[in-house]
Amino acid sequence: MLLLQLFINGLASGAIYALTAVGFALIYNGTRIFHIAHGAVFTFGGYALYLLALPLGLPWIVALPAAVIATAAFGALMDTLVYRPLRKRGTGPAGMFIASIGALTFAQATYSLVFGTDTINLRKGGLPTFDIGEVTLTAVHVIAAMVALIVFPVLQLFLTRTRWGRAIRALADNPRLAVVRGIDAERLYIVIFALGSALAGLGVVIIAFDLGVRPEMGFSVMFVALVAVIVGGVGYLPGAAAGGFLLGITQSLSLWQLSGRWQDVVVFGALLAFLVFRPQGIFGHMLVTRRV
Amino acid sequence: MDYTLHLIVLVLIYASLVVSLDLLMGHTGILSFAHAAFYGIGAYATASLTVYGGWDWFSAMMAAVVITAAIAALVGIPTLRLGGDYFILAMFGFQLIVITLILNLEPITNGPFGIRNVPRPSIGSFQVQSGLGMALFVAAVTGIIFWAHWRFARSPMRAMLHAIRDDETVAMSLGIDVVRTKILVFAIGAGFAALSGALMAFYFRYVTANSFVLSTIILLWAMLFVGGSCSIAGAIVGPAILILFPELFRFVGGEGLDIPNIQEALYGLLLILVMIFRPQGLVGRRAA
Repeated sequence: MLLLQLFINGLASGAIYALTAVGFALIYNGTRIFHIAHGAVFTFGGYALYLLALPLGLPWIVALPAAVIATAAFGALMDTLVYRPLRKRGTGPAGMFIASIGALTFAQATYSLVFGTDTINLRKGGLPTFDIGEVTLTAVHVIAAMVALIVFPVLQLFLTRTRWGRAIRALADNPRLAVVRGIDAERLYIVIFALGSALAGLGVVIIAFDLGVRPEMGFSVMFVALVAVIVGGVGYLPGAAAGGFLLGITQSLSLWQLSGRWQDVVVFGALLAFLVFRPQGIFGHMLVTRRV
Repeated sequence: MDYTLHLIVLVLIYASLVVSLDLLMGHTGILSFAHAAFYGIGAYATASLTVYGGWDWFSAMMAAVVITAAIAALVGIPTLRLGGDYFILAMFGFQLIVITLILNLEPITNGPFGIRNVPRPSIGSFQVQSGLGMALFVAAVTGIIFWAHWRFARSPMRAMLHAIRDDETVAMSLGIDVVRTKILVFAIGAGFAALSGALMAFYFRYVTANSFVLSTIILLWAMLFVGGSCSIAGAIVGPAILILFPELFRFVGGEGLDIPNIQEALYGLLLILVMIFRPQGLVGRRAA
C-alpha cells in the first residue's frame, strides 16, 4: 500500500513537472530558445499568488487565475526585454542561452532580496483529504490531476484546430517560410511565451498553494522538466507531458528504497541513461526534428 | 595589505579557471555547465590525497589533474556526441551528481564538513607559508596556465578548434575527427580546471562542496563573457571586475545588506547586458 501511495504522490508531482515541461517545450520548439529562465517565470507565479492572496487579500477563486495570468505576462515581458533585443542583433543559440542563464540568476536573486530566502506558506492548517482504502488523497492531488486532464487536450486542440495554433506550428516548423506566408513572427513569439508561461503558472499555483513559495523553487522543478522533455522526446509535446509524469512517479517511488537526498541523482541518472541509450526519447523518432 | 593580497590571489585563481573555460566555450564551442564540478573534483582530489592519503603536494596535484581529465573523458565519450542542448543538460546533470556524491561519500570527502588542514606546498625543504609566498605560488601556476594558453592560441590547433566551433559539418568535411577532438579538448580543459582546484585547496587549506555549486559556474560564465571570450586579456579583466566590483559595497556601508544575493543579481544582470550590448566582452573581439 505504501507503494500505491507513493505512486499517487508521484502522479501529483508529475502533473506539475508535466505542465512545466510542456510549457518549456512549447517555447523551445516555437522559438528555438533554450529558455532556462522558464524556472524563474515559474517562481514568479508563486510570488504573484502570494501577493494577490495574502497582502491583497483576494479570495482564492480570484487569486489563482490572476496569478496564472500574471505568470503569462511575466514570460511575455521576459521575451520582450531579454530575447527580442538579442534577436534583433542576430544572436545565436549560445548567446540566447547565456542571457537566459543571466535572467534566471537575476530573477532568483531578486526574489531572495525582496521576499527573503525562507519558505512563505500560503495557507494555514491541513488540506481536505479523502481516504480510499489505505491510500490518502489530498485536494491538491485531485486538482493537479484534473488540471492536467483538462489542459493537455485543450492545448492539443488549440494547436491543431485554431488559426493561431497552426501559425505557432508553422513557425516552429520553418520560421522563414512562416514569415513569407504572412505570419507576424514577433507578435507570435509573445503569444508563445505567454502560453508556455501560463502552463508553468498553472503548475506553480498548485504547488505554491500546497507547499508554499521559496526563491529557488522554480529551479529544481525546471530541471526535472527539462529532463522530462528529453525523456519524452524533444519536439513532441505529449512526450514532454508523459516524461513529466514518468519522472514524478520515478522520483516518488525511489523514496521507497533511497533517502530523499538521492532524488536529484535518480532524475539525472535517468537523463544520462536516456542520453546515452535513447537520445530521441521514448516517443521520438528522430533526434533533430522539432514539431509542436 | 593582506586583504589586497587576498583579492589578488582570488582574481588569479579565477583567471586560471576562466582560461580553461575559454578553451572549452570560447575556442571549441563546448558549452560546459560542469566546469565547477571539474574544479571541485580537482580540489577534492588534491585535498583528499594530501590529508587522508599522506601524499606530497606535487604528486597529489598531478594526480588530481590526471583523475579529473580521465573522468572528463569518460563523461565526454557518450555525451559529446550529442547536440548542443542535450550536452548542456547532460553536464548539468553531471554537476548535480558530483555535488551529491561529494556530500555523501564521507570516507573520501568528509561529506558536508569538507576537508580541513590541506598542507601548504613546499619546494625542497622550503615550505611556502606566508601570504606573500602563497600569492607568488598561485601567480606562478596561473602564469604557467596562461603561458600554455598563449602557446595554444598561436598553434594550428586553434584553427582546428575554431572550425569545429563554427561549423561541425564543414570541420568534418575537412577531415577533422570532431568527436575525438572535442573529447580530447574537454579532458584537457577539465585537467586545467583541476589545477585551479588544487590551487584553491592549497590557498584556502580547506575545501567544501559550497565552492563548486551552480552559482560558481554562473560566476565563471559572467567572468568569461564580461571579459570577452577567445581573449587572453579578457580572461584576467573579467575575473578582476567581478571580484573587485562587489568590494565597493564594503565602502558604501554594506552592513545589513544581503551581499551574496546582490552579487548574484549583479552577475545575472551583467550577463544579460553584456549579451545585448557588448557580446564580444569588454576587451574581447569575438561575439559569443
